[in-house]
Amino acid sequence: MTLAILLDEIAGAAAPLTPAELGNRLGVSTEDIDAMLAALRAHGLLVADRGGEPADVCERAGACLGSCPGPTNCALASDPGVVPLQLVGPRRRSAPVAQESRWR
Amino acid sequence: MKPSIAIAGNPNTGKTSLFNSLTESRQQVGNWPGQTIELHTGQLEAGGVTCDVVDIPGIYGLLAVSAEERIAAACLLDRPDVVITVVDLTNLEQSLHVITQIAEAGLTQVVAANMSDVAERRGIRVDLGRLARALATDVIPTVARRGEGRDQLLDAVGNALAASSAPPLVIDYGPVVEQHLAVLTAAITSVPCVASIAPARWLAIQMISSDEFLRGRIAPLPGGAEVLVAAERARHEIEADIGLEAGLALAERRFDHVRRLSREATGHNGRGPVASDRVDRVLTHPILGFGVFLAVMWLVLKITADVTAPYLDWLDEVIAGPVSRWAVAGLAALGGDGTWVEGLVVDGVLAGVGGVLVFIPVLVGLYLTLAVLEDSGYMARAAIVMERAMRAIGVPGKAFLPMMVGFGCTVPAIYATRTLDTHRDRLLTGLLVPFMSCSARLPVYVLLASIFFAGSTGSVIFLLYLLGIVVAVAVGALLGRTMLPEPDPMPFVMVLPAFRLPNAHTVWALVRRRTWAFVEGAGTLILMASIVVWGLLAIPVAGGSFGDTDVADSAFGAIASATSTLTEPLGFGEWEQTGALMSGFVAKEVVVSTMNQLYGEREPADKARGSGFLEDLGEIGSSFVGATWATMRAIPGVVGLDFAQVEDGTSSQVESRIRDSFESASGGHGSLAALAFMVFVLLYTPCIAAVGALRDEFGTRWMAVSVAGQLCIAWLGALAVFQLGRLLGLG
Repeated sequence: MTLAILLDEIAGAAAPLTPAELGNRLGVSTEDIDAMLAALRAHGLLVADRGGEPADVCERAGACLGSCPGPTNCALASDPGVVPLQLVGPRRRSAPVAQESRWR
Repeated sequence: MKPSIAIAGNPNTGKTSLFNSLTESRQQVGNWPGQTIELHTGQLEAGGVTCDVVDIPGIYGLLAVSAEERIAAACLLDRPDVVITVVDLTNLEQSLHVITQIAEAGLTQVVAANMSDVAERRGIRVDLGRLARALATDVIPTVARRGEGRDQLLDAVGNALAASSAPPLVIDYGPVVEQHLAVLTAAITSVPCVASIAPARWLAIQMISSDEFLRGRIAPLPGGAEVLVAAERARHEIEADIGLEAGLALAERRFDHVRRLSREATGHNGRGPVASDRVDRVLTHPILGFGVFLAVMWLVLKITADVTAPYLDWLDEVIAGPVSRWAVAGLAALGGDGTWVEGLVVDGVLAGVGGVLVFIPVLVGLYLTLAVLEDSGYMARAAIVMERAMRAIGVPGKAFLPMMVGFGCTVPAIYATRTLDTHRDRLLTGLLVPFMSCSARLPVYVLLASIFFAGSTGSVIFLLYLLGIVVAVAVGALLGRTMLPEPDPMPFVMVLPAFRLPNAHTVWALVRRRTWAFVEGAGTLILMASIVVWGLLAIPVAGGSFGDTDVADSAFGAIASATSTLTEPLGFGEWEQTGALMSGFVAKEVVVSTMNQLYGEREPADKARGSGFLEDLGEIGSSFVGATWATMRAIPGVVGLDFAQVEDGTSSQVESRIRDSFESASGGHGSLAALAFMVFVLLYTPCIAAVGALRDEFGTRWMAVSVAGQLCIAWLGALAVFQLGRLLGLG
């Protein structure tokens, strides 16, 4: 099981998946998928795409009447804790295994 | 010049705790130049030398993608004398990616193996000696928040400063990649300006991995352009030779290296599926997961509405009784009794703000249950369910984040649409977010549902929350198929936090912050709105003088009466009801404060001044004990065991007048009219701040479309509830 196969699976999925679902599809444990996702993130191939925190700009709308506590202390912008990891750039499908083995 | 130390590592590994422990009071906080990201700097003593130390932002690797990673990369390119890399021992493998990349960059490194206590509790054993030998560096176990391991870590840093720098780590990237790396390394070595930045092999690796930040640094240097051309050539040749992105090829080899290191240090070779995986399969299942989500939401609202009701009644009695009496007595002492000031304080501030503050127990109940769910990790699973429901109808998957935020407050939820990829996704989600029932609407539901649907309050509120989701889904499906068709979805993975037992401290912190935000809102926006409403109620338009006029003949009555014909078909065509809805445009809590001002009537003067201060305190205390006892008896009722059979059947004067008003406005269908009113509150514009947020994000035109659309949908929704209900003989 390689990072390339995992990236292909993510790129080819019709819908967003959880690590457990990816593990099911690829026949590996969720723990392994987590480790591979961490590796892809560490190498800039997946990026956590939360697009910035919303609360820092609420103040302009007067939502908290000038007492905006900032992005990390906003009492109302509760974060469900899901981290969406998105592919960086367009993904090409990886080469067949035979070709890949040349560099391994 | 003082030696420089950088503290690096993944986010949430205890870096900042370690920084605080090492620097004690010698630290400063500022911003990174040109960034809003905080910069923590300080000094520490290591090996008898004073060193400058900087806590760099948490990173996952050295490829600078995010703003934090660019800052970290810039820091490390400054070549600090020692890097203290903080490792979370409970997640060693993830931390090893950063350690490996720092070692490849040839930086002198000391590893702080943090959270060693948590790892031990979880039975995670790491052979630190073996890890140190494999990394060729000191690895010191620490518990940063308790300062454990601090002295040993400083000794290790002192030793590292005294020793000559270690050679860079070399990973074998396979013959094809190595061949190109060698050529590029030689090309870099021949350009001194570039080679002086960092070890040439590491620069070659980073450029082949498309490190845009590093390219930006190299491009303006003499000979930099030639190096970049050579790097591009090497990258293309590698990709042509192995048929894989060059960055991915390097990542594969580094991943193998890290995995081997991790397994040697932990003796762990992976595990099979665990219980949490199986639970996740149910909780994130498109159908089962949605069922669980609905059941959990029902339970949350049942607890919120039913269990906290006795405290609501208690606080209502306290504000309407002793607090009002003290206010009147205070005014009398100052000579202000019988004047318009007394009217402002009692009918304006106490009726308005007090009428909203009585809902604090309800909101504490909601915040408490939601905080427990959040901290346990369940809300992340609920978000996945929401994501699937949204995507099924053509709304972007990532819309679940703003949608979930929308249950708290619409304003940050609208700004959270910035997390979405395209303008179409942002706009569509921004138009749907206001239909999520924000917590400000809860007091309106509790007030009316407890009057008209006593015994089923929680279930009615649950159905309203559900209706908000259904309307959002329906509007999303309509817009997604007509005005805003969906482009190709962007693939992504949703990483979930692990399940855990909720931490009492974290839960309490969340409840406290959110409750305080509600109290602050009552003390500012609702206070101002209450004063404005009181002022409009005091201004006569058909006889009388300021502060001494029939409310029906006041400016507020006149304005509200002008629009009440629009709501007659909805079952609530009396001017008090439309007036409350109009003031609710400012904020939804104001609907409740206005109702209290309109339907409330002051206690007779003799009763208001009848009790002593100590008697009042005694009354507050005894009624609190009574409320606590009633709450204890109400808890089994959540699961259908009703031990609280004693109902006094009494209702406050405000509640009686609200009931009479809805009954008369609807021709005897008060419950249906109240339900239609709540549906209207659910679906029309959440608040003026939300309108501002919509204008900020999407412009005046879309703001107008959103406000007008919500009003139309609210009107149609309320009409359907009242008229269909009547036709079906309900209520």
